[in-house]
Amino acid sequence: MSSSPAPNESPCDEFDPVFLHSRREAILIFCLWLAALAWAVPFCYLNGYPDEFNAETFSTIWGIPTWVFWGIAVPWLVADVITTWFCFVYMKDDDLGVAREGADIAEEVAEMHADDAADKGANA
Amino acid sequence: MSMNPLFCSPVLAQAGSSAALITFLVYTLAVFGLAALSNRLLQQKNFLSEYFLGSRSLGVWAFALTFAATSASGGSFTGFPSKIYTHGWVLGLWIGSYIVVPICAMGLLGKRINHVARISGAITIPDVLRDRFRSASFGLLAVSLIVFFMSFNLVAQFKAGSKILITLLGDVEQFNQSVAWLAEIKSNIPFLANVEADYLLCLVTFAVAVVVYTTYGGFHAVVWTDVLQGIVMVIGVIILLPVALWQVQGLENATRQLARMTPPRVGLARIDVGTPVADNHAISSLWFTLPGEPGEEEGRPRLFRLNATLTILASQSVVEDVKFVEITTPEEIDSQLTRLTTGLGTTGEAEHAVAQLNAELRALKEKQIAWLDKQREAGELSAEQYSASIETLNVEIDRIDNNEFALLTAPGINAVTPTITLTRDYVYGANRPGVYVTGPGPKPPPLPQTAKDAPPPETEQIDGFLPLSLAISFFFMWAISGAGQPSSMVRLMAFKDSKTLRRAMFTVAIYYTLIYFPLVIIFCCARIVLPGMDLDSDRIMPQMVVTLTANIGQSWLAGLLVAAPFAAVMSTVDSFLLMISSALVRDIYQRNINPEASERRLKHLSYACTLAVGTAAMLGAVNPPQFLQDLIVYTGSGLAACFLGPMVFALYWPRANVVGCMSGMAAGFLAHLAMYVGGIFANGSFFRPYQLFNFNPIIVGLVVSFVTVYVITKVTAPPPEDLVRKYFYKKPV
Repeated sequence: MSSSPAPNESPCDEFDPVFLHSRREAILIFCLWLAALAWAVPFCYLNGYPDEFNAETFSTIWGIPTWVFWGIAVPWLVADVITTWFCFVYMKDDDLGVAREGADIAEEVAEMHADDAADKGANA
Repeated sequence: MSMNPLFCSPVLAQAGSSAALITFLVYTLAVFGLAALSNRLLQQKNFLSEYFLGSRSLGVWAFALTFAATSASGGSFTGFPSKIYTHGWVLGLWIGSYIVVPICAMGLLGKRINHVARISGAITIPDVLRDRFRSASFGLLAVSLIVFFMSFNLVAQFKAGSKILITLLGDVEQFNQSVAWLAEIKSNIPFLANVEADYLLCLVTFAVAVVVYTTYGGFHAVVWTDVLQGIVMVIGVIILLPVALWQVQGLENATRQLARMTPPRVGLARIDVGTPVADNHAISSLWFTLPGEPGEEEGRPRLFRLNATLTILASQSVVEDVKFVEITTPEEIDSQLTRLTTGLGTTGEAEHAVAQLNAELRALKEKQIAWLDKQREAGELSAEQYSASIETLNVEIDRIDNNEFALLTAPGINAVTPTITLTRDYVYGANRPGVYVTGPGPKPPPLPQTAKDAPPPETEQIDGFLPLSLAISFFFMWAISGAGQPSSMVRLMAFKDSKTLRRAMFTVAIYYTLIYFPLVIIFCCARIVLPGMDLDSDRIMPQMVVTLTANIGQSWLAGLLVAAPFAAVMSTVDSFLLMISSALVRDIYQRNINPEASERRLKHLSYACTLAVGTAAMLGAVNPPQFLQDLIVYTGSGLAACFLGPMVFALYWPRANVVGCMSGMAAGFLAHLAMYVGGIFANGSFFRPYQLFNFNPIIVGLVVSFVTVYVITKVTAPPPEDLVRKYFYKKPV
């Protein structure tokens, strides 16, 4: 998704760092989601969906079925550790800028008046 | 250790009526106080930005808790516990993607959408799309979809809020007096003739509370009440977890018991009390037994629990089609029978249970005597018939007075005669131990309203609750579609700076860890503590709260903890209300009809719209359409299918253009809708959607939407260069 119209003769041809950082962070988050999916669902399916059930051999860890413990509970804690690392180490503190409250409306109003003026000029 | 799961009807009557009422009043007062404070902020800042977006000034706690509380919704505290109770440990996998939900829902779009909204001055999601592509049509398409989906959802949430309030206040004396007063008034209004008075009272109370504080306080009122509500929710779970584990003597013990359990049988029964009653009579004791099948080991009786209070109408002696649950695990039958028979009399609570049953049966007999008196006066009974019947009833009253068992069919008492008219086994998991601790989890059968129109039981092979394809779908559903909800996106536009976003993501991750996995543990324990609630499992959360707090002698806590689901629904409703209102005022009126409207006019219009939308939703919920829960699922997944693809491309792909993104939004909507329409032909109902390759419609909608945006954008002209520069390139100093 990086192809973009080539800006020419512009005072500043570099991408905004907020955009670049956000995109890099979003890609990592997507990979994290994919990793969670790739671990949790197959692990739980292979270990927690038996054809035959035997209450005697059924195993638990701290009262949690073993397949839930390794498939969900432990990954949950790992995900929390990764989230902590992501939030406090990886993610950049970017200046998001000052909100231009009403800028969009002002732009449209200006365009509207310009059109009106043009119409009047044409009629005159 | 004492347990009192025997009588499960009036939730807060057990906890003490005043606690419930005081909790609700304190809660409402706190919410109104927050709204008043928020309104003061409105006087000082740009009105629309403050009213709909809190002036983009949310700090860590406000942002984290409003995001978490809005996403949680009432479902987390009613539907989710009910599912855990019904299907067991497999709900750990069902909710599995919550391990990455905070980072996905906040981090995928958060920083960038906030940045883009600041560049353009956008206040709403349609604003962002309209400004990003400089297209009024795109803004209008987005507004239409938001209003379409959210209006249905709002009606459904209003109904959910009212239902929870009924549970909260049911059997509080003052509440019942108000219900009786309202029933009298509404009987003269045709529009309200078929509406239950308690539902109507709760709906109006809920609506007035939410609409008033949202209208008056705007976004900040919503955020601060979300913070309050978020705190209530997490405190509730943190207190319940250790108490539940203590009650079941440890999680290991509970899981081992679940492993031996087989799903119950469900069905309909005919309950006969013999002689008709003079006035309506309610019996809230729910357990009864019938003789075991021939050959049943050790002569063990069959054990049943009715799903609701039994009401015998005046001049009648029979109640038809009463739903019941039959316990099928021998160990569970024995343990419950012990509690209901010999186990009683050992604690004050147990004595109370027997005393309550005896009082209800005695009152039944007195009403039967009153009916006989009337018949005698009317000349319908001869003197001999009358005195024989009275003598029989008096003997029964004597027996009732000496009864020591908490069973409707206690030995020696012939007050109630149940007859089974329909039974159904679980469509997946019947007679199979282990289904509550493994996948795909048991699946209950559909139960008809009456035994007469019951279709034959389905014989085809049916998947369990969570087959593999559905497990994958839910990984998309929670994490990815959560990121695609406009109500979540608009919160991402409201945080103060990126440091706030980082810290809030961390906070929400810890918050969800403290809530969701513990909920799975608590409500797996609930199967042990409160057996037989399978047909009434929506009430498992409040019932569990009441039982646990009563058993540790802290009944006052119940009022606070039962407020958690109510809080969750409130926080969802208020944000949806503002979304629709902002769509009407900002996106339609200001941006399309009158861009030069004065601040004063916009202010009045915003108040009026929020009030009007709230009132309309309340009126819609008076006679709500059927399938509300399905409607919530449809609208939630539909919004994600429409908005996620176009928003991701709009934020991260400079080449994205208006044609591609609009096409993607429309294609996502249509593909998702097509799956539901396909359900009419394939499964006979709109709300049983067609599942392409066994996947949930949201996956189809998302894939179609993403592919459409990409392909259409590639084959159409690139966007204007100045737009790309504005949103993607460094600004000249």
